[in-house]
Amino acid sequence: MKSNKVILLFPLILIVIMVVNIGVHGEELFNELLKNTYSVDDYFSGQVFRDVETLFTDHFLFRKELEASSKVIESLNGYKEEMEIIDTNAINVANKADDTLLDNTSMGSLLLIDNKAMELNFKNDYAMTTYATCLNEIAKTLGDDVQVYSMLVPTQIEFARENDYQGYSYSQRDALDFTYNQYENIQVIDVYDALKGHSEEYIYFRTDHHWTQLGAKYAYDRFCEILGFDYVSEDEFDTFKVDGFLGSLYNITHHPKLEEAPDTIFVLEPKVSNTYVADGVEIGHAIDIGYVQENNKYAVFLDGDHTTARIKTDLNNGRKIIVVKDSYANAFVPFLVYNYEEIITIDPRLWNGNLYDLVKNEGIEEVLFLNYSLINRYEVYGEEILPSILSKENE
Amino acid sequence: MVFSSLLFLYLFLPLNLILYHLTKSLKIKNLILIVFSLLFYAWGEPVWVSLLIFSASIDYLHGRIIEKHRNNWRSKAALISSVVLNLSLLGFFKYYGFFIENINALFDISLTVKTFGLPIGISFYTFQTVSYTVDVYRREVSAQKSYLKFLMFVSLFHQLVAGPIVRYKDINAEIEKRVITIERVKYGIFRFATGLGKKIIFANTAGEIASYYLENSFVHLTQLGAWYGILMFSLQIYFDFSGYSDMAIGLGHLFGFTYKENFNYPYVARSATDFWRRWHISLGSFFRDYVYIPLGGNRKHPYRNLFIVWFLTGMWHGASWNFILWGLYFGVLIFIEKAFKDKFKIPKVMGHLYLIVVVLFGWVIFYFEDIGLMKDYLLIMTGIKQTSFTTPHLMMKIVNNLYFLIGALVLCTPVVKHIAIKLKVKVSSYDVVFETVYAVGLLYVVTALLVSQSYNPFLYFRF
Repeated sequence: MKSNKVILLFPLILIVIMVVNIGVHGEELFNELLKNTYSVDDYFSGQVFRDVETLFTDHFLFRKELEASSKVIESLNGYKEEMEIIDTNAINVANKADDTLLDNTSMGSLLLIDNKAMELNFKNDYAMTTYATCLNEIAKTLGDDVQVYSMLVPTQIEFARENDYQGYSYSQRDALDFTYNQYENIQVIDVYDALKGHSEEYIYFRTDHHWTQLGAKYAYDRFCEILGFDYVSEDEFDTFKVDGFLGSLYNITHHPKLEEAPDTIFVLEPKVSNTYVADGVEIGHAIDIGYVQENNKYAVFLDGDHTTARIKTDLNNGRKIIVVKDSYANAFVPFLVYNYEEIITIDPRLWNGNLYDLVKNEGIEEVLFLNYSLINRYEVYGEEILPSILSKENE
Repeated sequence: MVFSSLLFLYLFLPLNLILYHLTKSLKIKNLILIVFSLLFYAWGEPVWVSLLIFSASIDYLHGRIIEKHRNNWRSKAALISSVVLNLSLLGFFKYYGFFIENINALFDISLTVKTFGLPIGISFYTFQTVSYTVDVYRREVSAQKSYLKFLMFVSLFHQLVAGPIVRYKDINAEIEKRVITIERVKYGIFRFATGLGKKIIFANTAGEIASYYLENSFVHLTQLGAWYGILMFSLQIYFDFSGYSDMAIGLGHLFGFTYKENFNYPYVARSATDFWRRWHISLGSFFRDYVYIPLGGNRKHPYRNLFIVWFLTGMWHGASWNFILWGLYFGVLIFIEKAFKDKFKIPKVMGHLYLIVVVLFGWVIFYFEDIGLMKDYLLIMTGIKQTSFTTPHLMMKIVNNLYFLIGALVLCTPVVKHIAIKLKVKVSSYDVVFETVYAVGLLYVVTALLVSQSYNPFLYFRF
């Protein structure tokens, strides 16, 4: 039957798309491919072919529109109007601060409700114990002259109110207590109540796993309270904002509900003059609008994660502090310019130095360990990452 | 290369179709198929495409020798040589490491194993060429005199990588002459699109959900979670495998080949026996025709034969004890079913429930190569190890994927097919419009998902 030929529309579409794809993207695909230098081994291992496939997919026609369609399709899987669970299987989220550094955060499961996504906590006694044990080791090694502080910051899910969905996440209060109870000679900076009291405010991002600087400010107020520093009011800061922030949780999920409600970073810039030397290079101040990148706006604080950095102020009060941190500390550390003449930050995942040597050589008496409390889901932190800063291997 | 990729859909396949249908000469058509098939295979196995060609060449020679020397010993020698060579190839590339591990465990020594990676599809093409030489020997088919035609049979990309196992005698007529009608093209596209949809929409989604329960630590696994996880896996493997067969069959028709069905709604079966008449049919019939019956079938040493066949069926799926266990598990069930078949009747629903439970536990054995993990998972699933029954997290996950689950379960039955057949009669000559909309619609959905999907596994890398 003549009308049966209608089915030929199918192969016709394949052909048309092939032709258009090659016509439009063929050249750039080819150029990208030529950028790589391939050895004979690469051909025989199939690497070249795999790269061609990846490039073909990355440069596919109407990629963005198709991705949007796929999100609509995925939303049909079930009833997701109220809330949605997204299990990421601990995908590593890469937030590149610059070309050589990756901010890897192990994500577990996420809860998506309204326009915000939140990481879920789960119980891991072993991980918490290794973290505490490791900190105790460090405190002991550093000796009595050095005061070790520990701040573990609870996350958004802990204070969530709507629909009673705390049941999805193990209590961070319990986790924190379990960890803190194992400390010896460590000063706990417990910011839980400080954050809880302001949980209705914009203290956490919707599309990113970090807290906002407002949240960090409330934690800083508590820090000052415990250490006996003067309270610094919000008037003592310059403010500016960074719009259109789609953070880590958006990067993993590309969820339309997050895309339609991006975050705004309200920045509190200390009025204290300071210089910021990151990985040996002076790049400006602790906070600088210039650090903002399209795919990493949180980097406005401390230019993202550097292996090590120094902030120098002209306080000349003889007080210095080392902050061993994850990226949560980035929003917090700039506040310390009101209290210290020098702040040294260390990312224990990347740093090859030795903390004991650093403390002794520079005459430092205060070390703050700042992480978000969800690191106690995974024992890698207490087993490998933290202990590495005391190892002598890398000298 | 795999069918479920943008490169295949929008570069390889259209080019192949254009070139193939541009020429009228069968010889050139065959050549095009060989070139594209070898390219398809070499894309994923740049080195071991040589093994494929070697295997095909050897059995081309064997076939001719068997036929030429039918009246003397050389014929049988060639048959034995073919079987031995093919099984040795398979044994060396697939089972050598497994073999050495067991020797080490048995004699408490530590021989080092140096293995090459497993060439994709070796389990399929060695079986295909063995079936050829055996069929030639049994005079069920005459040997292929043209090397190129034989190479085309072995390397044909439609079924090379993930089946069905196509016997030479099933397509030898079409190797010589192929007729492609628009009806055939319509059907081929329909099957291909269906397979694509099964794989990308259903298998990949089910697999992503399943992996959360199967691949992570079992510390937080609940009893319901264990059942939910393996249920998703059973959906994944069915839609993946049968989807691939659909695509192979569909592609075959686009080029004039008819491949036999490989799946027949296995999850509606009511017994393990029935299940294996519906699951991976080409493998079951291979073992029946080339192992079970030659060994004597159910007339001579039936128990021994059953044991051997199911041992081999399990082992074919992977070089690990859990696969053998899986095969024997079904062997035992089938044996018991045979023994009690006439003793008493079970109501249909009970039979169906029994099969579902049996199959789900079977997939746990199939999935975990590590016996320790398998044991832990089973203990949680059965409730022997005390865990919570469920968590809010799991319940929300189920709700979030409920429509998907219902749709997948419905598609495991022939309900939609029957409805489609009835509708087709109603719309008669306009059915091509519906089929086109169906195929193009699926193509769109699949393309959108492929562009954004990071999870697109190829489950048959171990075959």
